[in-house]
Amino acid sequence: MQNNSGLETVRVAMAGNPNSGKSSIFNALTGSRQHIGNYPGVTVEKKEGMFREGERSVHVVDLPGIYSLTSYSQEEVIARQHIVESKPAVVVNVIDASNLERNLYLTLQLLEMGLNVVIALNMMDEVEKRGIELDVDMLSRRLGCYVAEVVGHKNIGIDNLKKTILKAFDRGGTETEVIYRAELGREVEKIVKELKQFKDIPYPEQFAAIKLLENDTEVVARLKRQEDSEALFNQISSSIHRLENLYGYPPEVLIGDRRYGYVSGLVKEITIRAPAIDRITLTERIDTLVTHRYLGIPLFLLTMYLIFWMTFTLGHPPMRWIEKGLSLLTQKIDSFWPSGASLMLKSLINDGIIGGVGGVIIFLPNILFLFLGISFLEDTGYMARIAFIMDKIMHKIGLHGRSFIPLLIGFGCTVPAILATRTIRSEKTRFTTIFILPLMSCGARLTIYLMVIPAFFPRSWQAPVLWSIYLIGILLALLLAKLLRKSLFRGEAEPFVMELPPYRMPSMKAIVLHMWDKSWQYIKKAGTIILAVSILIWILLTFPRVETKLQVNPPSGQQAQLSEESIRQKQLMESYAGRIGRIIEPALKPMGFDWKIGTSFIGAFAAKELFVAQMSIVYSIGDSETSPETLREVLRKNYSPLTGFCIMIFALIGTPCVATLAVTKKEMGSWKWVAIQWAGLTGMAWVVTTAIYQLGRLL
Amino acid sequence: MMKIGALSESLEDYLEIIYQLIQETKEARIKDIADRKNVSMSSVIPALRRLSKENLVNYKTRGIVTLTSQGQNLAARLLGRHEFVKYFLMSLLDVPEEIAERDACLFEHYMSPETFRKMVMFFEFVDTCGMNIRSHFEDYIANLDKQGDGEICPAPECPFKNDSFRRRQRWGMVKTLSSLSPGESGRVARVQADTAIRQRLIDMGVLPNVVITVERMAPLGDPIEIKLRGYHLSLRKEEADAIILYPST
Ligand SMILES: Nc1nc2c(ncn2[C@@H]2O[C@H](COP(=O)(O)OP(=O)(O)OP(=O)(O)O)[C@@H](O)[C@H]2O)c(=O)[nH]1
Ligand SMILES: [Mg+2]
Repeated sequence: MQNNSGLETVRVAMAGNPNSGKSSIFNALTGSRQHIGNYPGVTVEKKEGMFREGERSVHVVDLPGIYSLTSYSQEEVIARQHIVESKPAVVVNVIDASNLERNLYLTLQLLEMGLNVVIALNMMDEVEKRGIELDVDMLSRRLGCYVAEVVGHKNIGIDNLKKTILKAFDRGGTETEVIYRAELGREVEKIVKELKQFKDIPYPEQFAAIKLLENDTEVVARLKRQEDSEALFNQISSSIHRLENLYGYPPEVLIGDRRYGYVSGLVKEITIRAPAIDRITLTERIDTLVTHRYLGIPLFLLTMYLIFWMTFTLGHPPMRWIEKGLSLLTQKIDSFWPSGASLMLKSLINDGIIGGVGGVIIFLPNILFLFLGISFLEDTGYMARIAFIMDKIMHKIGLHGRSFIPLLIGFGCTVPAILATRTIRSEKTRFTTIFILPLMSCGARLTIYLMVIPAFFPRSWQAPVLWSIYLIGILLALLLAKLLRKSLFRGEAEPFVMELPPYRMPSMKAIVLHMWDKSWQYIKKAGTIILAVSILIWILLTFPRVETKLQVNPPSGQQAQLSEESIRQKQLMESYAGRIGRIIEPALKPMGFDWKIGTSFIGAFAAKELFVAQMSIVYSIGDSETSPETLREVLRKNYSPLTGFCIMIFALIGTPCVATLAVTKKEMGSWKWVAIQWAGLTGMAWVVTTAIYQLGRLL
Repeated sequence: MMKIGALSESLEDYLEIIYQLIQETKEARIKDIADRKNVSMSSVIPALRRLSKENLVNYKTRGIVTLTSQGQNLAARLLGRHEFVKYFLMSLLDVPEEIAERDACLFEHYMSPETFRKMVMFFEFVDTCGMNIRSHFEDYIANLDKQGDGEICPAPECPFKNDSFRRRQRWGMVKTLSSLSPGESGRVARVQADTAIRQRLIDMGVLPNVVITVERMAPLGDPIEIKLRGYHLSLRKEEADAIILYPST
């Protein structure tokens, strides 16, 4: 293929078992920064990159991991479709050399497909550490394809791999023998003969014949659509019948057995030296502790506690610095604002932009520490164990062991949590998890609780109240999950068959890069969506302007303050937000809210922490020097503790924020789900809050 | 545990009869025992006394006999052995049922444990070996009998095929993966899951004759972690229930 710059283009795809190091090698080849983690199923989408080698430009596609070419889960379908249908010129089959047998099982299938395979023999460092010696030449000769040894995460052997890819491209194919003999081979041949009469089937004949014997849904459906396929399917069913009678097993077992048989023979042949390991490996020793009958769960809880502690405690000082910096900035703008210039613009900058965007940016340190913790869990291999430990509980409520990880992340922020649900294979389980995620009380909502609780509750009550809010969220989430799995997302439970990778030491470099990517994403979000919505809300709170007669000479400072305050109040009442607030007031009444709280919840829709800022504007304490103490006093004067509690419950359950909705749309693919989620949660919030308020009033 | 063969043939028979009676009618009366064994009631009494001295039965004068746990255990093993031998003769060697029954009665008392063990192993081998010995043998006999043509015989549709798993479970020859405890291992006999999950298990290398070791259970008892082909896999007990193994000794 020739592109317009005169460079020849070579299309390459990465294929291999999950967690074999495909993305590590992809990153090394193309200089990209795809996400890497030590558990199966990190990559869930196609990712593209490229490198140049001499006069050629090589386009590489990183794919999700697969164990075989059978379509099983959604992201595996992506990988198979890419390999089978878009026919890359070279397929780099990444193999975990410390786990040859299972990895080579896929290799055989890729070769059966007639693909131009290059083997990247990865994790050679671990092989050496174990004192294993492999005859790589023999492997190459027996499979009839090129083999390059690499250590993916350390960039070792990458240049050689690049050259090998192009060598394979020039050769244009592999020299591989067929491994199906005897009765099975005979039946395969018979089917191939039948297949010859069809011209335009998108698969190689041998591959199609085997898939037909295995009764692969996709291939069978594809050929059923073909005209005159009757003879073919008669041949297939007679072959299946014959093999089953002959061996007592269905063909797919026979085929699997044949492949694994071949592979284990091959592994024996190429292993020159393999010291018998009778010592217990480090991984096994760690697992004995980490998944211990009695210690396992407490250890897990402790780990999570440490991560939250780190998030809140270590994140606090830098958060204060940013806060200070922002308030300094506001003051500076205040004092340097030219006297003739528009006050409106100043308000937009100070209240709207710095208030809104800054309110989000101050949580950057917390978010960073949270992600540091999570990337530690991911890179060491502990993540897979968490799914293992928690699967039983999750299974009971209709979720999956893998659902637990996003739920944990949700205590930090719902947005990355929704992204993390991609590792859940079954769509119904995944959607259920996304739906209930907003009930995990996030860091932004914590600011609301921190404002409300000290205002209404005596010190000894504060911790239990906070605890009860989180608990209500979790209980509702469990209930909702169970309900959703019985209604909207009814379906079979997804089986739990997951590989547990060996523990690995996370590399400092990878973690730092990961942190950097995360902060950048976060800042980008603050600079785009949050900025836009903040401005919008500021507009809603500021317009339309009411006619005010400004007194030219205020008699005293005290009175000027007062009159300014009343003007603001009036302005607010008449603003779009105020009008909306009063329109929806009847709906708010049963929950014990007035229009002021209602308006603030409209603000909280942009980002939950805006509720606090907005309440203070509503109560005309917009002055940046006012400490939160005074707002608390105002709240205490105006509302009962019951209303306070109801504010928190409503903030917990209702109106997921804009960012959550945007990510939900992206992940679930349709605004319909977003609408259902938003309306469902808000409705639920209304019902629960009303119930609490009305019951509370009776007591 | 009491060894098979430590008692006399006739005492072993008594034990089996009592066991069967309890299974069938919930209780064993001396009269019924005598009927079944085809002897007089007076000759049943001394046998019961001896069995009771070995602590195998509880025998009270009122005419109802019960088994001690030791007796029950021995009787079950004797019967399992009886059944196995009969099945072996019928299904493998194509011996008619009456003859198989009679011979099984003899074998069960006199065959050494070593021979019995080898017979079980041979049976397993024939059942799992891809070379399909059983059908070749049946083919051979069919040809001897009928001098017919050499087409593959229909023997795999053997009448015992469907319930053979339950039988073998009773003989203690196969177990499900979920019934193994951590540290135990076994060789896969077959996978009984439905198509989608079975294909996944095949792809992960769960195939006949692969050795699987149970490493541990999750703290809440489910899922379990297993080791096969040099790597670690976790699956729910639900899935593990579908994997049938020959437990290693
Ligand atoms: N010891 C060692 N570890 C490696 C090597 N290459 C990758 N790793 C580690 O293996 C783990 C998996 O790497 P990934 O690149 O995410 O694997 P993947 O194949 O893309 O995984 P999926 O996207 O889940 O299919 C990470 O913890 C890497 O740091 C290697 O050559 N040696
Ligand atoms: Mg990857």
